[in-house]
Amino acid sequence: MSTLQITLNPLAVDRLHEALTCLSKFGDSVTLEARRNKLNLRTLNPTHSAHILICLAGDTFCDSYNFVPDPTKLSFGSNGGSQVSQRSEEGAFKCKMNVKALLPVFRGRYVQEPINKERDENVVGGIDRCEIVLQEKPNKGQCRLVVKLVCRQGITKTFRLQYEEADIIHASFLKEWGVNKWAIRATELKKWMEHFGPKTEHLEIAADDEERVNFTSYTLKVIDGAHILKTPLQTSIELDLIEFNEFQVARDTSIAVSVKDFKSIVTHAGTFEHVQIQAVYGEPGQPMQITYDQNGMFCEFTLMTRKKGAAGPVGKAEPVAKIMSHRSAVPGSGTGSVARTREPSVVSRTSVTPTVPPTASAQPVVATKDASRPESVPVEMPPPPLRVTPRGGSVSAVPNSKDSPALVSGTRQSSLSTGLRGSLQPRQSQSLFIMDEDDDVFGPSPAPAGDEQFEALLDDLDGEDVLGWDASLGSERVSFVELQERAVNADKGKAVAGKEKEQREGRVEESGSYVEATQRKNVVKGLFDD
Amino acid sequence: MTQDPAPSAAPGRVFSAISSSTRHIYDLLKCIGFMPIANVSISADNIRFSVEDSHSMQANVCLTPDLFSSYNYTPSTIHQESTAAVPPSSAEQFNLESEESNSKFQISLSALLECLQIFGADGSNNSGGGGGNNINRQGGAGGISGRDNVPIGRQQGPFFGNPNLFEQNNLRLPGTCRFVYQGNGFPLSIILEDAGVTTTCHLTTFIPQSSTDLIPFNRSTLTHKLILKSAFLHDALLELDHLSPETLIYSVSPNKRPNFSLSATGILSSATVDLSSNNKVVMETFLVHEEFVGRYKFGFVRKAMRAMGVASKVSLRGDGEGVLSMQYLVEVGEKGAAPTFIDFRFLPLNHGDDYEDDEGGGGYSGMDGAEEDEDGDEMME
Repeated sequence: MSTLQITLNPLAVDRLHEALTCLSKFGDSVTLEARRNKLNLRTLNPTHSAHILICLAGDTFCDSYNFVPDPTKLSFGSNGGSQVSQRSEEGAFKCKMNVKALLPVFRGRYVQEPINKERDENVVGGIDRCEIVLQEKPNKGQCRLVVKLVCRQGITKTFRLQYEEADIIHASFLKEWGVNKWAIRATELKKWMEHFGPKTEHLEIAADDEERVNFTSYTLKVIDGAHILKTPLQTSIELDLIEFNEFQVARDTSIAVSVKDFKSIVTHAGTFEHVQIQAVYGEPGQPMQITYDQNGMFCEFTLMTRKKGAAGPVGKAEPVAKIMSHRSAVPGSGTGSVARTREPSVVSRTSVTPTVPPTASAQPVVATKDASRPESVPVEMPPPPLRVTPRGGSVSAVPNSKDSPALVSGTRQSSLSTGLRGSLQPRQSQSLFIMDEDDDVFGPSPAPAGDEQFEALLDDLDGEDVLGWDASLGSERVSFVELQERAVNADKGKAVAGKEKEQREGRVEESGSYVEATQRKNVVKGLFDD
Repeated sequence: MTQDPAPSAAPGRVFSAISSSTRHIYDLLKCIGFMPIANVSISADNIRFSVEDSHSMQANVCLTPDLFSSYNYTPSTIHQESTAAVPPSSAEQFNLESEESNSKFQISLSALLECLQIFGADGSNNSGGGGGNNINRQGGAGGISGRDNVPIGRQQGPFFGNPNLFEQNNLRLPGTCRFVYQGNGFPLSIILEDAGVTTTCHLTTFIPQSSTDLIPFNRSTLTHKLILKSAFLHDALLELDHLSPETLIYSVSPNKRPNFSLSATGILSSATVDLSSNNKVVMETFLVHEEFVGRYKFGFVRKAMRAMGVASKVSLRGDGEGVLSMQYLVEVGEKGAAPTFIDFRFLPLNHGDDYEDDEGGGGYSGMDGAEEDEDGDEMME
């Protein structure tokens, strides 16, 4: 049984509520992940185009934070003996809850002063402190997250919230993708957000010249069959580069994200005082990452950007082409996306200068070229011995993964998303997310010495671009290659048994630590076939 | 049942009351406005409106003469005028004199509230009478058509319907509102006179269907009596209301902590609000003879929340049968005026119902981990 005890002051509860409100704009459920010194809240939106991570630091955000991992799970993980299991089997407690159940619990708990002076004694609402305790008794069938609000006047409100077990889904964002970055004060950005109409869908962020950035919101609505083309409203806002605290964007880079998502982020960031939003992105079609943190709350949003030339249903690409003239419409290119995984690292957030390794800088180009290739599926099959993604893949991953064979590489291939192609936005076809239990996102607070080492280790791994995926607490692993096979097989309905065998053999040759591959594959298949 | 609202040979007035403002009357009646039909009983002491739902809950409002600038009830008239119409009542008068001297009728409460609203009683909320209002409109429609008598007539209708107009001229000339009831079979007339404009509403009255007795509350087996500030009860129930629960578990205990707790279980979570008996700011009176745990349908209790919101204090009592009585003390407008009481009674849910889950929530009393065994066992069932 894990032990989790958190005490929050009213202000932190208010912050937490704002964070949950923000999360609720993206998805219905929130995943809680308790670690030794922090609590992570995550939401993945239903179309898998946005992933939000909000990290609450145990010591700066919470008045007190105590998490003791489940000892049984810890020993479970140490069986592996590998690096992966050590770091993923920290015994983090993960659960999933409905955000609608959480919202009212934390709503309006911070009351600054009596609303009505005449009844100041009668002021209801407002709390002294909030205690969150995990009550985990699986054998008794009673697992609840208990939130106890100690209110004024000796009133106690206790909420017992149901949760379900959950796997952590992780956004993949390669450091190499972060070639473009800018930072701006949230309040500055928030001023302009209201100009983007509520019915517009996309927001294009274009840096066309050296002096200003263009934010354009537009709608791309193509009604099939009836020949109705609706692009009712376009709003452009030009921001001078002076407004930005940092701006490093390649010329003629323009990306498009969902207006609604972007607004939700800016709205949330605007609730902080003097917070600076930092956005990092690469080419269109690669995710964009927006981060900010204050007072022990670290927020990271990973948004999928619209792919070049992907313009909704095939053949209706014209409006986009007009708006974003540099896009080349290549129907079907949405399938060619590749998911890369990477642990978000301290370096990517804290350093101002790009920390992209020399090899990586060239990769986005490769990626886009590949992505625009119409018949992309065959390319997704990697040469068996190499554990590299065919597109956007960094070659540097290979030797490193050899060095640490236990670090199982894996990526989530787009078997699911390819099925959705055509009916959904193309950007969703890129599988942004991997299941992962290791998410050592930087806790804003200094971690204990052990953790620092640990994170340093992680960073090393990040630098080497190791892909990690572990579906089941590290007890079973699936290699990246297998996953990819899965995906392709699922897509094509082809049995590529021979190749599978080949690949497996190749992998086994490479590193002897892979065993029981077939069984694990079944597990993976179950996950993807959902 | 009903008679034509046009009184040809007008008898003397049985009841007549004048108020300079309908606002507080409206506010009070709105608290029980969750049902479309109300029973009205007029006596020399008060005029009482009561509603009931499913014979399981009941709510009463007594408007005392204090609320009116003039209040006249002349039961003698009713005898002269209505004994012929209702012969059996005369026989019983000897036994239940005090009761029978009252004028009793049913009225469409939603229509009455609408009338009061037309008169500008409700400034902020023009969304109609809430829940049950739309259910029974026919009575109201007939009644309001009486406005045709008004000189200005329909042209003024939309303006009257817009309460903002009334709010804007906050000068609000002291128009008078008259309630007139002329006896059995006659409508209840509401006449607004305001700066030479007279608006009349005739609300059809109905003969009460059956004896609408109060839910019996046995004072001799009183288990507890709590008086607390209504705002805290309102806040507690609001918290529970977020879960959209079915059942409210109400438990009072003389010595075991928490002394007073309300809990409910929704689909996604369960919640408990514990109130301490020690804090005198919240709890004025805490008299508990024995432990009391009652289950009530949350939907019924929710209907009392409007009253909770406007009241300043509430008295909670339970009897041996589990009937819960809530009495809300509402301080009406003018200072020094006697407060008005709104009274709710709830029948408990049967204990046979399968609410084991709720039991777990109700029994929960803390996070210390020591007491968890007993409710854990219950969860296993």
